[in-house]
Amino acid sequence: MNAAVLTSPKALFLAFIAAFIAVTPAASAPVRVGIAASVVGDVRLNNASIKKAVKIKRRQRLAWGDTVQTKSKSKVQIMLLDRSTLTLASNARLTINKFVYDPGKSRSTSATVSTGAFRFMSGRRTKKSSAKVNTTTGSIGIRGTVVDGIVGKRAAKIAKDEPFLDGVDSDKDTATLIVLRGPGAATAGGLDVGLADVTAAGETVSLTEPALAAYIPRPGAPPIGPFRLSQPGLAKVQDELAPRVTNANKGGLLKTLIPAAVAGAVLGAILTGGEEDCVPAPGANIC
Amino acid sequence: MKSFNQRWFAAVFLFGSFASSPAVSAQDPVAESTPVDPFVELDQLADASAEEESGLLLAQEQAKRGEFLEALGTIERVLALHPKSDSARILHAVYLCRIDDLPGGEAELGKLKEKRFSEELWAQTQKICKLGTGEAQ
Repeated sequence: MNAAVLTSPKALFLAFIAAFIAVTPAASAPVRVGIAASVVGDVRLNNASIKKAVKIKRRQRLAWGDTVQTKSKSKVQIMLLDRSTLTLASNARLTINKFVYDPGKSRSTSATVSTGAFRFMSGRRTKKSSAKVNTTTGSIGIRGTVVDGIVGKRAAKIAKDEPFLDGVDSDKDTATLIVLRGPGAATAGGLDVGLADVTAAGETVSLTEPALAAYIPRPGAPPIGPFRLSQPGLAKVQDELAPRVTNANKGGLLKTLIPAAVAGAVLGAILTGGEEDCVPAPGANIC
Repeated sequence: MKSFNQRWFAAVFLFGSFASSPAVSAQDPVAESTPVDPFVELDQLADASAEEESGLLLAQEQAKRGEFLEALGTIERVLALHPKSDSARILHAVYLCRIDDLPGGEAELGKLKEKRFSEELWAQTQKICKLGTGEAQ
Protein backbone atom coordinates (compact mmCIF):
# COMPACT_ATOMS: atom_id res chain seq x y z
CA MET A 1 0.00 0.00 0.00
CA ASN A 2 1.25 3.47 -0.82
CA ALA A 3 1.41 5.25 2.54
CA ALA A 4 1.36 8.61 0.84
CA VAL A 5 -2.20 7.96 -0.27
CA LEU A 6 -3.30 7.95 3.35
CA THR A 7 -2.03 11.44 3.93
CA SER A 8 -4.68 13.06 1.75
CA PRO A 9 -7.89 14.05 3.59
CA LYS A 10 -10.01 12.49 0.87
CA ALA A 11 -8.23 9.15 1.18
CA LEU A 12 -8.55 9.24 4.95
CA PHE A 13 -12.25 10.01 4.67
CA LEU A 14 -12.71 7.08 2.29
CA ALA A 15 -10.77 4.80 4.62
CA PHE A 16 -13.04 5.81 7.49
CA ILE A 17 -16.16 5.21 5.42
CA ALA A 18 -14.82 1.82 4.33
CA ALA A 19 -14.13 0.84 7.93
CA PHE A 20 -17.57 2.08 9.00
CA ILE A 21 -19.28 0.08 6.28
CA ALA A 22 -17.30 -2.98 7.35
CA VAL A 23 -18.74 -2.86 10.87
CA THR A 24 -22.30 -1.76 10.05
CA PRO A 25 -24.74 -4.54 9.24
CA ALA A 26 -26.61 -4.13 6.01
CA ALA A 27 -30.04 -2.55 6.33
CA SER A 28 -31.60 -5.78 5.10
CA ALA A 29 -29.65 -8.03 7.47
CA PRO A 30 -32.02 -10.47 9.15
CA VAL A 31 -32.99 -9.71 12.75
CA ARG A 32 -32.03 -12.94 14.43
CA VAL A 33 -34.28 -13.82 17.33
CA GLY A 34 -33.66 -17.45 18.23
CA ILE A 35 -32.72 -20.91 17.12
CA ALA A 36 -34.24 -24.24 16.20
CA ALA A 37 -33.50 -25.92 19.52
CA SER A 38 -34.82 -29.30 18.51
CA VAL A 39 -35.49 -30.67 15.04
CA VAL A 40 -37.05 -34.05 14.34
CA GLY A 41 -37.78 -35.27 10.81
CA ASP A 42 -38.34 -32.95 7.88
CA VAL A 43 -38.50 -29.33 9.01
CA ARG A 44 -38.16 -26.55 6.44
CA LEU A 45 -37.61 -22.81 6.43
CA ASN A 46 -38.34 -20.09 3.95
CA ASN A 47 -38.41 -16.29 4.02
CA ALA A 48 -38.19 -13.27 1.75
CA SER A 49 -34.71 -14.34 0.57
CA ILE A 50 -35.17 -18.10 0.59
CA LYS A 51 -38.15 -18.65 -1.66
CA LYS A 52 -37.88 -22.42 -1.90
CA ALA A 53 -38.05 -23.89 1.59
CA VAL A 54 -34.85 -25.56 2.76
CA LYS A 55 -34.39 -28.29 5.35
CA ILE A 56 -33.02 -27.11 8.66
CA LYS A 57 -31.09 -28.70 11.50
CA ARG A 58 -30.73 -28.06 15.21
CA ARG A 59 -28.99 -24.73 15.94
CA GLN A 60 -30.45 -23.09 12.81
CA ARG A 61 -30.63 -19.34 13.45
CA LEU A 62 -34.10 -17.90 13.03
CA ALA A 63 -35.08 -14.34 12.24
CA TRP A 64 -38.01 -12.02 11.71
CA GLY A 65 -40.01 -13.08 8.68
CA ASP A 66 -38.91 -16.72 8.76
CA THR A 67 -41.58 -19.31 8.12
CA VAL A 68 -40.96 -22.75 9.62
CA GLN A 69 -42.89 -25.73 8.36
CA THR A 70 -42.97 -29.29 9.64
CA LYS A 71 -43.79 -32.27 7.47
CA SER A 72 -45.40 -35.53 8.51
CA LYS A 73 -43.87 -37.21 11.61
CA SER A 74 -41.72 -34.12 12.17
CA LYS A 75 -41.41 -31.62 14.96
CA VAL A 76 -39.47 -28.50 15.86
CA GLN A 77 -38.97 -26.42 18.97
CA ILE A 78 -38.01 -22.80 18.42
CA MET A 79 -36.21 -21.15 21.34
CA LEU A 80 -36.16 -17.36 21.39
CA LEU A 81 -33.52 -15.19 23.02
CA ASP A 82 -35.64 -14.72 26.15
CA ARG A 83 -35.96 -18.54 26.41
CA SER A 84 -39.57 -18.52 25.29
CA THR A 85 -40.29 -21.61 23.25
CA LEU A 86 -42.62 -22.29 20.37
CA THR A 87 -43.11 -25.96 19.62
CA LEU A 88 -44.63 -27.07 16.35
CA ALA A 89 -46.06 -30.56 15.89
CA SER A 90 -46.16 -32.37 12.55
CA ASN A 91 -47.77 -30.79 9.47
CA ALA A 92 -47.70 -27.31 11.00
CA ARG A 93 -46.59 -23.92 9.77
CA LEU A 94 -45.50 -20.86 11.73
CA THR A 95 -44.14 -17.45 10.79
CA ILE A 96 -42.12 -15.29 13.18
CA ASN A 97 -43.58 -11.83 12.62
CA LYS A 98 -41.63 -9.94 15.24
CA PHE A 99 -39.64 -10.39 18.43
CA VAL A 100 -38.10 -7.56 20.44
CA TYR A 101 -36.28 -8.31 23.69
CA ASP A 102 -34.62 -6.02 26.19
CA PRO A 103 -33.42 -8.38 28.96
CA GLY A 104 -35.12 -7.73 32.30
CA LYS A 105 -37.14 -4.85 30.90
CA SER A 106 -39.44 -5.80 28.07
CA ARG A 107 -40.22 -8.23 25.33
CA SER A 108 -42.72 -8.40 22.54
CA THR A 109 -43.44 -11.51 20.52
CA SER A 110 -45.67 -11.94 17.51
CA ALA A 111 -46.09 -15.09 15.44
CA THR A 112 -48.64 -16.56 13.07
CA VAL A 113 -49.65 -20.21 13.02
CA SER A 114 -51.54 -21.03 9.85
CA THR A 115 -51.98 -24.74 10.46
CA GLY A 116 -51.13 -27.50 12.92
CA ALA A 117 -50.56 -27.88 16.65
CA PHE A 118 -48.31 -25.63 18.68
CA ARG A 119 -47.27 -24.85 22.23
CA PHE A 120 -46.05 -21.46 23.38
CA MET A 121 -44.19 -21.14 26.66
CA SER A 122 -43.17 -17.78 28.04
CA GLY A 123 -39.52 -17.22 28.78
CA ARG A 124 -37.64 -15.18 31.33
CA ARG A 125 -39.59 -12.69 33.40
CA THR A 126 -39.53 -9.09 32.22
CA LYS A 127 -41.23 -5.96 33.58
CA LYS A 128 -43.25 -5.50 30.41
CA SER A 129 -44.20 -8.45 28.30
CA SER A 130 -46.55 -9.09 25.43
CA ALA A 131 -46.97 -12.09 23.19
CA LYS A 132 -49.44 -12.64 20.44
CA VAL A 133 -50.07 -15.68 18.28
CA ASN A 134 -52.28 -15.10 15.27
CA THR A 135 -54.20 -17.81 13.48
CA THR A 136 -56.33 -17.67 10.36
CA THR A 137 -59.46 -17.15 12.43
CA GLY A 138 -58.33 -15.09 15.40
CA SER A 139 -55.54 -14.18 17.78
CA ILE A 140 -54.27 -15.23 21.19
CA GLY A 141 -52.84 -12.67 23.57
CA ILE A 142 -50.58 -14.43 26.02
CA ARG A 143 -49.18 -13.40 29.40
CA GLY A 144 -46.63 -15.46 31.32
CA THR A 145 -48.03 -18.77 30.36
CA VAL A 146 -48.05 -22.11 28.67
CA VAL A 147 -50.70 -22.30 25.99
CA ASP A 148 -51.45 -25.08 23.52
CA GLY A 149 -53.26 -24.55 20.24
CA ILE A 150 -54.37 -26.52 17.23
CA VAL A 151 -55.38 -25.01 13.90
CA GLY A 152 -57.14 -27.14 11.30
CA LYS A 153 -58.78 -30.54 11.02
CA ARG A 154 -57.33 -31.95 14.26
CA ALA A 155 -58.93 -29.09 16.18
CA ALA A 156 -62.26 -29.79 14.49
CA LYS A 157 -61.93 -33.50 15.31
CA ILE A 158 -61.23 -32.89 19.00
CA ALA A 159 -64.06 -30.35 19.15
CA LYS A 160 -66.48 -32.88 17.68
CA ASP A 161 -65.98 -35.12 20.71
CA GLU A 162 -66.27 -32.32 23.29
CA PRO A 163 -69.69 -32.31 25.01
CA PHE A 164 -69.51 -28.51 25.43
CA LEU A 165 -69.15 -28.02 21.66
CA ASP A 166 -71.92 -30.42 20.67
CA GLY A 167 -73.51 -29.41 17.36
CA VAL A 168 -71.04 -26.65 16.50
CA ASP A 169 -70.41 -26.25 12.77
CA SER A 170 -66.63 -26.26 12.17
CA ASP A 171 -64.45 -25.43 9.19
CA LYS A 172 -61.87 -28.21 9.15
CA ASP A 173 -59.17 -26.06 7.58
CA THR A 174 -59.29 -23.12 9.97
CA ALA A 175 -60.97 -24.28 13.19
CA THR A 176 -58.83 -23.22 16.14
CA LEU A 177 -58.71 -24.76 19.61
CA ILE A 178 -56.76 -22.98 22.35
CA VAL A 179 -56.06 -24.43 25.81
CA LEU A 180 -54.39 -22.69 28.72
CA ARG A 181 -52.01 -25.06 30.49
CA GLY A 182 -50.65 -22.93 33.30
CA PRO A 183 -49.17 -21.70 35.50
CA GLY A 184 -52.22 -21.81 37.72
CA ALA A 185 -52.78 -20.06 41.02
CA ALA A 186 -51.12 -22.90 42.95
CA THR A 187 -47.97 -22.96 40.83
CA ALA A 188 -44.59 -23.70 42.35
CA GLY A 189 -41.59 -21.51 41.77
CA GLY A 190 -43.39 -18.19 42.22
CA LEU A 191 -44.23 -18.03 38.51
CA ASP A 192 -46.69 -15.49 37.16
CA VAL A 193 -50.16 -16.95 36.83
CA GLY A 194 -50.92 -17.48 33.17
CA LEU A 195 -53.59 -15.78 31.13
CA ALA A 196 -54.64 -16.06 27.50
CA ASP A 197 -57.13 -13.85 25.67
CA VAL A 198 -58.61 -15.47 22.60
CA THR A 199 -60.09 -12.92 20.20
CA ALA A 200 -62.10 -13.40 17.01
CA ALA A 201 -64.86 -11.47 15.26
CA GLY A 202 -64.45 -8.64 17.75
CA GLU A 203 -65.11 -10.79 20.81
CA THR A 204 -62.64 -11.96 23.44
CA VAL A 205 -62.70 -15.00 25.70
CA SER A 206 -60.27 -14.99 28.62
CA LEU A 207 -58.66 -18.21 29.77
CA THR A 208 -57.63 -17.84 33.40
CA GLU A 209 -57.16 -21.39 34.69
CA PRO A 210 -55.31 -24.46 33.46
CA ALA A 211 -57.40 -26.67 31.15
CA LEU A 212 -59.77 -23.84 30.24
CA ALA A 213 -60.22 -23.69 26.48
CA ALA A 214 -61.70 -21.56 23.73
CA TYR A 215 -62.75 -22.69 20.28
CA ILE A 216 -63.07 -20.64 17.10
CA PRO A 217 -65.04 -22.93 14.77
CA ARG A 218 -64.71 -21.02 11.51
CA PRO A 219 -63.68 -17.68 10.01
CA GLY A 220 -65.90 -14.83 11.12
CA ALA A 221 -67.19 -16.70 14.16
CA PRO A 222 -66.52 -15.46 17.70
CA PRO A 223 -64.68 -17.75 20.11
CA ILE A 224 -66.77 -20.23 22.09
CA GLY A 225 -65.88 -20.56 25.75
CA PRO A 226 -64.30 -20.57 28.14
CA PHE A 227 -64.99 -24.23 28.82
CA ARG A 228 -63.05 -26.91 30.62
CA LEU A 229 -61.53 -29.27 28.07
CA SER A 230 -62.33 -32.88 28.89
CA GLN A 231 -59.57 -35.23 30.03
CA PRO A 232 -59.69 -37.22 26.76
CA GLY A 233 -59.58 -33.94 24.83
CA LEU A 234 -56.57 -32.78 26.81
CA ALA A 235 -54.82 -36.10 26.18
CA LYS A 236 -55.47 -35.70 22.44
CA VAL A 237 -53.98 -32.20 22.45
CA GLN A 238 -50.90 -33.53 24.22
CA ASP A 239 -50.69 -36.43 21.82
CA GLU A 240 -50.45 -33.93 18.99
CA LEU A 241 -47.48 -32.23 20.62
CA ALA A 242 -45.76 -35.21 22.26
CA PRO A 243 -47.13 -38.38 20.69
CA ARG A 244 -47.59 -41.35 22.93
CA VAL A 245 -45.27 -44.23 22.10
CA THR A 246 -46.59 -47.63 23.02
CA ASN A 247 -43.24 -49.40 23.22
CA ALA A 248 -41.71 -47.20 25.90
CA ASN A 249 -38.28 -47.82 27.37
CA LYS A 250 -38.64 -50.15 30.28
CA GLY A 251 -37.62 -48.45 33.47
CA GLY A 252 -36.05 -45.54 31.71
CA LEU A 253 -33.24 -43.42 32.96
CA LEU A 254 -34.91 -42.51 36.20
CA LYS A 255 -34.07 -46.02 37.38
CA THR A 256 -30.44 -45.15 36.77
CA LEU A 257 -30.70 -41.62 38.01
CA ILE A 258 -32.77 -42.66 41.00
CA PRO A 259 -31.62 -46.09 42.17
CA ALA A 260 -33.98 -47.97 44.44
CA ALA A 261 -31.75 -47.28 47.42
CA VAL A 262 -32.03 -43.51 47.05
CA ALA A 263 -33.67 -41.91 50.04
CA GLY A 264 -37.11 -40.45 49.71
CA ALA A 265 -35.90 -36.94 50.44
CA VAL A 266 -33.54 -37.01 47.47
CA LEU A 267 -36.24 -38.55 45.34
CA GLY A 268 -38.61 -35.77 46.25
CA ALA A 269 -36.09 -33.09 45.35
CA ILE A 270 -35.28 -34.70 42.01
CA LEU A 271 -38.89 -35.05 41.03
CA THR A 272 -40.05 -31.70 42.16
CA GLY A 273 -37.00 -29.56 41.64
CA GLY A 274 -37.53 -26.69 44.03
CA GLU A 275 -37.41 -27.28 47.73
CA GLU A 276 -38.86 -23.96 48.72
CA ASP A 277 -42.31 -25.31 49.32
CA CYS A 278 -41.49 -28.87 50.28
CA VAL A 279 -42.71 -30.17 53.60
CA PRO A 280 -40.32 -32.46 55.46
CA ALA A 281 -42.00 -35.75 56.20
CA PRO A 282 -40.72 -39.05 57.61
CA GLY A 283 -38.51 -40.50 54.91
CA ALA A 284 -39.51 -37.97 52.28
CA ASN A 285 -40.05 -34.37 51.38
CA ILE A 286 -43.57 -33.93 50.15
CA CYS A 287 -43.69 -31.09 47.64
CA MET B 1 1.84 13.98 9.93
CA LYS B 2 2.34 10.80 7.99
CA SER B 3 2.83 8.64 11.07
CA PHE B 4 -0.20 10.29 12.75
CA ASN B 5 -2.37 9.41 9.77
CA GLN B 6 -1.15 5.86 9.75
CA ARG B 7 -1.93 5.54 13.46
CA TRP B 8 -5.36 7.07 12.90
CA PHE B 9 -6.09 4.64 10.07
CA ALA B 10 -4.93 1.77 12.23
CA ALA B 11 -7.19 2.95 15.05
CA VAL B 12 -10.20 3.08 12.72
CA PHE B 13 -9.35 -0.34 11.34
CA LEU B 14 -8.95 -1.81 14.80
CA PHE B 15 -12.23 -0.24 15.88
CA GLY B 16 -13.87 -1.97 12.95
CA SER B 17 -12.30 -5.29 13.87
CA PHE B 18 -13.46 -5.15 17.47
CA ALA B 19 -16.92 -3.93 16.61
CA SER B 20 -17.49 -6.70 14.12
CA SER B 21 -16.07 -9.47 16.28
CA PRO B 22 -18.94 -11.55 17.65
CA ALA B 23 -17.02 -12.77 20.66
CA VAL B 24 -13.74 -12.25 22.43
CA SER B 25 -11.56 -15.22 23.24
CA ALA B 26 -11.34 -16.42 26.83
CA GLN B 27 -7.69 -15.35 26.95
CA ASP B 28 -8.49 -11.79 26.06
CA PRO B 29 -8.44 -9.46 29.09
CA VAL B 30 -11.56 -7.78 27.70
CA ALA B 31 -13.40 -11.08 27.97
CA GLU B 32 -14.28 -10.58 31.63
CA SER B 33 -16.53 -7.67 30.80
CA THR B 34 -17.86 -9.14 27.55
CA PRO B 35 -21.26 -10.80 27.80
CA VAL B 36 -21.63 -14.32 26.46
CA ASP B 37 -23.12 -14.50 22.98
CA PRO B 38 -26.78 -15.33 23.71
CA PHE B 39 -26.95 -17.62 20.70
CA VAL B 40 -24.12 -19.70 22.11
CA GLU B 41 -26.15 -20.12 25.31
CA LEU B 42 -29.16 -21.25 23.28
CA ASP B 43 -26.96 -23.71 21.37
CA GLN B 44 -25.70 -25.13 24.65
CA LEU B 45 -29.22 -25.63 25.96
CA ALA B 46 -30.24 -27.27 22.69
CA ASP B 47 -27.21 -29.55 22.69
CA ALA B 48 -27.67 -30.56 26.32
CA SER B 49 -31.18 -31.79 25.64
CA ALA B 50 -30.20 -33.79 22.57
CA GLU B 51 -29.13 -36.64 24.83
CA GLU B 52 -31.70 -38.19 27.14
CA GLU B 53 -29.57 -38.28 30.27
CA SER B 54 -28.07 -34.79 30.00
CA GLY B 55 -31.47 -33.42 29.04
CA LEU B 56 -33.11 -34.89 32.13
CA LEU B 57 -30.33 -33.52 34.32
CA LEU B 58 -30.65 -30.07 32.75
CA ALA B 59 -34.41 -30.07 33.33
CA GLN B 60 -33.90 -31.00 36.96
CA GLU B 61 -31.36 -28.21 37.42
CA GLN B 62 -33.80 -25.72 35.94
CA ALA B 63 -36.59 -27.02 38.14
CA LYS B 64 -34.37 -26.67 41.22
CA ARG B 65 -34.05 -22.98 40.38
CA GLY B 66 -37.82 -22.75 40.07
CA GLU B 67 -37.61 -22.37 36.29
CA PHE B 68 -40.41 -24.81 35.63
CA LEU B 69 -41.34 -23.43 32.23
CA GLU B 70 -37.76 -23.77 31.04
CA ALA B 71 -37.66 -27.27 32.55
CA LEU B 72 -40.80 -28.15 30.60
CA GLY B 73 -39.18 -26.78 27.44
CA THR B 74 -36.15 -28.96 28.03
CA ILE B 75 -38.27 -32.05 28.64
CA GLU B 76 -40.20 -31.32 25.45
CA ARG B 77 -36.95 -31.38 23.50
CA VAL B 78 -35.92 -34.65 25.15
CA LEU B 79 -39.31 -36.19 24.37
CA ALA B 80 -39.10 -35.03 20.77
CA LEU B 81 -35.86 -36.93 20.27
CA HIS B 82 -36.57 -39.75 22.72
CA PRO B 83 -40.32 -40.31 22.58
CA LYS B 84 -39.97 -43.68 24.28
CA SER B 85 -38.40 -42.19 27.38
CA ASP B 86 -40.58 -43.04 30.36
CA SER B 87 -38.30 -40.89 32.49
CA ALA B 88 -38.89 -37.80 30.38
CA ARG B 89 -42.61 -38.51 30.27
CA ILE B 90 -42.95 -38.77 34.04
CA LEU B 91 -40.94 -35.58 34.56
CA HIS B 92 -43.14 -33.86 31.98
CA ALA B 93 -46.17 -34.91 34.03
CA VAL B 94 -44.58 -33.77 37.28
CA TYR B 95 -43.59 -30.35 35.93
CA LEU B 96 -47.07 -29.83 34.50
CA CYS B 97 -48.43 -30.55 37.96
CA ARG B 98 -45.87 -28.18 39.51
CA ILE B 99 -47.22 -25.32 37.39
CA ASP B 100 -50.70 -26.30 38.61
CA ASP B 101 -51.77 -27.98 35.39
CA LEU B 102 -53.07 -30.98 37.31
CA PRO B 103 -55.39 -32.23 34.54
CA GLY B 104 -52.48 -32.07 32.08
CA GLY B 105 -50.23 -33.92 34.50
CA GLU B 106 -52.88 -36.57 35.02
CA ALA B 107 -53.35 -36.99 31.26
CA GLU B 108 -49.60 -37.47 30.86
CA LEU B 109 -49.41 -39.93 33.75
CA GLY B 110 -52.25 -41.83 32.13
CA LYS B 111 -49.86 -42.72 29.31
CA LEU B 112 -47.46 -44.43 31.70
CA LYS B 113 -47.57 -47.85 33.27
CA GLU B 114 -47.15 -47.89 37.02
CA LYS B 115 -45.22 -51.17 36.93
CA ARG B 116 -42.35 -49.50 35.08
CA PHE B 117 -41.52 -47.37 38.11
CA SER B 118 -40.60 -48.04 41.69
CA GLU B 119 -43.48 -47.85 44.14
CA GLU B 120 -41.86 -44.93 45.92
CA LEU B 121 -41.37 -42.91 42.75
CA TRP B 122 -44.90 -43.57 41.58
CA ALA B 123 -46.39 -42.68 44.97
CA GLN B 124 -44.40 -39.44 45.08
CA THR B 125 -45.62 -38.52 41.61
CA GLN B 126 -49.22 -39.25 42.52
CA LYS B 127 -48.83 -37.03 45.57
CA ILE B 128 -47.36 -34.13 43.58
CA CYS B 129 -50.20 -34.41 41.07
CA LYS B 130 -52.74 -34.75 43.88
CA LEU B 131 -54.20 -37.83 42.29
CA GLY B 132 -56.62 -39.82 44.37
CA THR B 133 -57.61 -36.67 46.23
CA GLY B 134 -60.07 -35.44 43.63
CA GLU B 135 -58.13 -32.19 43.16
CA ALA B 136 -56.84 -33.05 39.71
CA GLN B 137 -60.28 -32.90 38.13
